[in-house]
Amino acid sequence: MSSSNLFKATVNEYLEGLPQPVQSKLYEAPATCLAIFRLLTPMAKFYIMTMLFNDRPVALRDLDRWCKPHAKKLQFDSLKRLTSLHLIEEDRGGNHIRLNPTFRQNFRNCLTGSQQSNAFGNLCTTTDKHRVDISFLDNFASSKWETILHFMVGTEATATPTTSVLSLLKSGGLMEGPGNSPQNLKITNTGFQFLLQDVNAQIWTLLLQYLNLTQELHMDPVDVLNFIFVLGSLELGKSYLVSSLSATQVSMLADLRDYGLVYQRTDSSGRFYPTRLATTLTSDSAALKTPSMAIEQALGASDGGEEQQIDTPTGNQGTVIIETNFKLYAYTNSPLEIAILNLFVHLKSRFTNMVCGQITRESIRSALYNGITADQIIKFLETHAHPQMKLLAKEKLDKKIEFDTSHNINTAGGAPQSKVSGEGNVAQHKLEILPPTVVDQIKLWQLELDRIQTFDGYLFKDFSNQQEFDTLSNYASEVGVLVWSDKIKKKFFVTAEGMTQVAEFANRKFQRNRQ
Amino acid sequence: MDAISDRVFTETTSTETSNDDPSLLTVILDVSPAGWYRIRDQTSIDELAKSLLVFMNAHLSLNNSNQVAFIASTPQKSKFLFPNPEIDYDEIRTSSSSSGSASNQHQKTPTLVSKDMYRQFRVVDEAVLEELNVVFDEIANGIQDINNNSTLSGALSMALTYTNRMLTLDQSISTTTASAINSTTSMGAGSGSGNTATNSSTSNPSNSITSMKSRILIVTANDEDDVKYIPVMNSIFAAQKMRTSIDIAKLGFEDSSYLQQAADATNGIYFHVHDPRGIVQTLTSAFFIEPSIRPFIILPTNSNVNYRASCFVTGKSVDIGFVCSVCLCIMSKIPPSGKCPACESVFDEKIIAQLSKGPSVLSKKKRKIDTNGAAK
Repeated sequence: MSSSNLFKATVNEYLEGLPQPVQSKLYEAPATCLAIFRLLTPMAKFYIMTMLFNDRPVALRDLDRWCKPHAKKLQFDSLKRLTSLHLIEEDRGGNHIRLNPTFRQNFRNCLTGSQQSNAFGNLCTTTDKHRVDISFLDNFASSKWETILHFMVGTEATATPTTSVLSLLKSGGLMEGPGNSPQNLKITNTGFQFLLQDVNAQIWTLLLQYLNLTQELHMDPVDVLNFIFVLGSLELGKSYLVSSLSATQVSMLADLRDYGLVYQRTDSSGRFYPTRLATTLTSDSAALKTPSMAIEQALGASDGGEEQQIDTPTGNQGTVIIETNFKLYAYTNSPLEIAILNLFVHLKSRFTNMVCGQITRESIRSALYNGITADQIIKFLETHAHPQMKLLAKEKLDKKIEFDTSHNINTAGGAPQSKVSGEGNVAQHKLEILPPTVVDQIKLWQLELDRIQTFDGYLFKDFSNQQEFDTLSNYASEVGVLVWSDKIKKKFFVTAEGMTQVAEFANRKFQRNRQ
Repeated sequence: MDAISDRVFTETTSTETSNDDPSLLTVILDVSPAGWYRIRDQTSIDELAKSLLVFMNAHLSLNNSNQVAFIASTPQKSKFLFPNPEIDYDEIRTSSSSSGSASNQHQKTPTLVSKDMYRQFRVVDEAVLEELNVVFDEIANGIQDINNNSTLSGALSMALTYTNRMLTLDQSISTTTASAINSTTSMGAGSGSGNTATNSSTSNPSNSITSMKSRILIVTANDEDDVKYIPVMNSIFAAQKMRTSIDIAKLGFEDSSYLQQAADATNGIYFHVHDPRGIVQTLTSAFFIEPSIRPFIILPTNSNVNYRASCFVTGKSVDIGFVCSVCLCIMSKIPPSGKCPACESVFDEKIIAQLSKGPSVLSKKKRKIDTNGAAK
């Protein structure tokens, strides 16, 4: 799972955990509808879109017909997600579903542009005496955010973040230490995992922590969430009126300023500017730089002069080269990146502008023991791969595709049956930035650790005939909840979440057979 | 026992996830007046344009980095309505939000778009509506010199070149504004403390890595089968190679066999909209299958495709004809020059004489030669 999916998953989890009245209050704001929609999986987005302009409820059986058989699991996942967000409602018979009327109305308005006037923030129409441009905002945002990251790794000579940030870091378990003095705080394993994520995921981690805190302070979570989501749809470089915000939201401004999400010149200023960190909250994080790159840049800038000229071209891009023999070279001198690499690489030598190391079973295992997953490591290496590695990978991929298409095109004109194999071929190729041997081995090392897996679930047994067993176990495997099955003994085991689904299906089948 | 050895790990660890990559949607609207006149009882192009705008908004709402392009194919030419490299969309935005600057006072379109609309939507919708009105004016003024040739093939290749540019080119050097939003993000993020010059020159490889998906939607009401066969087929092959699907929303009364082929060959959707009144629902369901979820959805398309080819000499479609043995060029009749119209290879005179003997003598034998398809 990529880290952008990860942050979506955590935000979604939080939203799903909210009580239903809070959720439906959230859907009253068009900006929130848009943001929540963006956080869904592609399949769920598709379902919502098909139901959005359809006035009649949709039959569940029809949904089944839209999907190819092997996508059943995706379908169930997205429907489950939608139900727990209360975005879709089932009718009494349980055969039809329809969209949540509030959400539907507001999202429709959002698409057709007929929502009430200040749904996406109240723009300041007068010009600011102290004009602020985008590059200033970017500087402001990155300096605020980097202060936090630098503080976490303990880069020397960086400012200490404000107490509100410190308490967030502590309550989120990212840093720990006795007392309240900032010198005593030390980064935890979770903190290192936090550093492995991209900026968006990091901001969301802190914001969710912040949401938890606001509940203790008896702030209205709907107000807080709405404000966060509105921030994501504001326009960069424009100022917005503070006066149109609720009291809760005004009090949030000060905190958000500490994280670098908004810029407000003074506490009493009547306008605020969203920074890039805020406006990209609900978007894909691909466009953003990773924190370690940011830190590297900051270091490059502070070094100044000629060295920067040499450093930035590589520094901006990613620095890590991995060979098929598990040797790793990183052209970096950033303490943060070296610290992160040290989590899962056995570093051997360090030069002025690079470090060399070896990925070994022990080094990966120690990382895994610290709670870092193989996917996180692979993702990190991929995003930080040297441009040369990316170019090489892309060339390889292009060649493969070229070969396939030129192979296909001879027959593609009229014969439909050739197309099927063509699609299969194209889907097979993926961009392999890292050597596949290394990727596989890292995954295998993770699998070594969980040779025994435990599942909570239910055992189905004592079937009256083979056919009954087959239909049920096939259904369970289609839905993706089957853990184990034995044809001869006519027994199978499903996960705890899948139990209700399979049981319902069994009831339906059983009844129909009886009739 | 075998269940234990292979099942557990693969099933639980590698779940099939459809990834949420940004995608580019290019809408091609065929505005040739004849087709729209014919279905004037059912819908108007205004209605359709509105639905298309909602459809594009919906596409933009999927993902912040999603992009759209809009091409109008008129009887005279094909034209990019959005993005238009000559227009700075920041300008439009500020001028229309300060209500009524000189540049767009004479136009009634900006009022169609609520100025409170979400920024990304508003920029696109305003631009498309304004330009669409300009296009209508042009058509109305130049109605005499309409030569009734569809420019759809041209529009299709424009769409493909734009797609190619967006998929592979460094986005920060492109001048088009659809990407400018994106490129300022990546550039601006880089320029936070570094220098922009080195940034833009080196950001190429990283950008080309982020995999952008793409698809093309053609909306046409043209019932004449006057689409140029060869350019369209070439576009189809190009689209196949780029893995861009071509979706077709066909209004009007007839099916268009070449467009059917286009959709079929590129894993796209061909859908004949018989009743265009609720087209927004059709657009947001049948035509809303993103490339990322295409492998999982059963496409609402007709597998019954007419694979007719068109004659290279007359441009009409043929059911039975002659084929050049060198370049596979298709002819409904043997050209008088005795040469292939495409590759200019000279056909064997004896065989031409044999083939053009006429049906009166030995009609059975003639057919036999015909199906062998041999000239030269």
